[in-house]
Amino acid sequence: MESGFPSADSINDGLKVEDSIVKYQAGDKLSEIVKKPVTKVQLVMYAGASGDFNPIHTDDEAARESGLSGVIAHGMLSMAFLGQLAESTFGAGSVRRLEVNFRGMVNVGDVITLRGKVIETREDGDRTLAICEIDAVNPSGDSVTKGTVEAWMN
Amino acid sequence: MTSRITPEVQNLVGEKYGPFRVNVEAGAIRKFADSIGDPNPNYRKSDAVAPPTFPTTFRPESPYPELPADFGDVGLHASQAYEFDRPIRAGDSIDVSITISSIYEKRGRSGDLVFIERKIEYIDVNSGRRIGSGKWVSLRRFNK
Repeated sequence: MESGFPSADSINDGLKVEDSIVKYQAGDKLSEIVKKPVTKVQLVMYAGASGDFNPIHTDDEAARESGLSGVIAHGMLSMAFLGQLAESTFGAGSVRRLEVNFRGMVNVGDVITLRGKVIETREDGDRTLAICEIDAVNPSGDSVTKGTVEAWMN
Repeated sequence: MTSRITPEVQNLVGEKYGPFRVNVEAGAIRKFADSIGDPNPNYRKSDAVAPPTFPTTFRPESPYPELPADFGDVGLHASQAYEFDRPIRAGDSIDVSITISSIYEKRGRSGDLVFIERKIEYIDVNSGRRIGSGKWVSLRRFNK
């Protein structure tokens, strides 16, 4: 029955998380994730969940006063998307290090595509790390948030 | 070329906030995963692990050392990093401390940029061991 409230499912991607992790090697691409369009409801949910209530992310009027045409996504939301790329690939809790630079704004309605590539694998004791370049790309093909992730493969 | 970094601003380097304590709840992890649109079931258990950017939810509840509000024309988040010795899990009790590690400037195309870099440390209250660390870099732009 319709509750009238947007459910979490309305923004989830329905991505299947595999139990066994494929062994990746340098040069391998990560499976691309195409996110659903960013919505104002999502920005409100992210504001609440993260505690970042900067009004440029939730209040169009405040955003316009800051010289924007309307609300923009939290940069940290795009970083969280890249965290999803890493942990959907290598497993929940696999990230050892995640570092990004914020290069561009994400607007409401933008479909963000997440891409990654393994640049190196490294043994550390009896564990193996995958070091990957990761990139969040907007509909114009511009990289909005870019960085690297190191994730355990075992 | 004169520096934008006044002695008052330079003196912020080394300023520390905290530690402040956070208790990680499964429901908070689930809500965070929902807001991202990340369907991973491992973020939705009573003993859930937290997504890697979850530490962004650990926010100071009182004023913390910061550049003056009127410093520069625009404030932006420049970069962010997290490093984990182990994943954060529901049930963890964590002491968080934030230290201003450096303040530096660059000349940008659209104006002078002053960067403030903060190091964040996450300590497991029960074991006393480090869970991980963070780096939070924001900038203020002085428009041309």
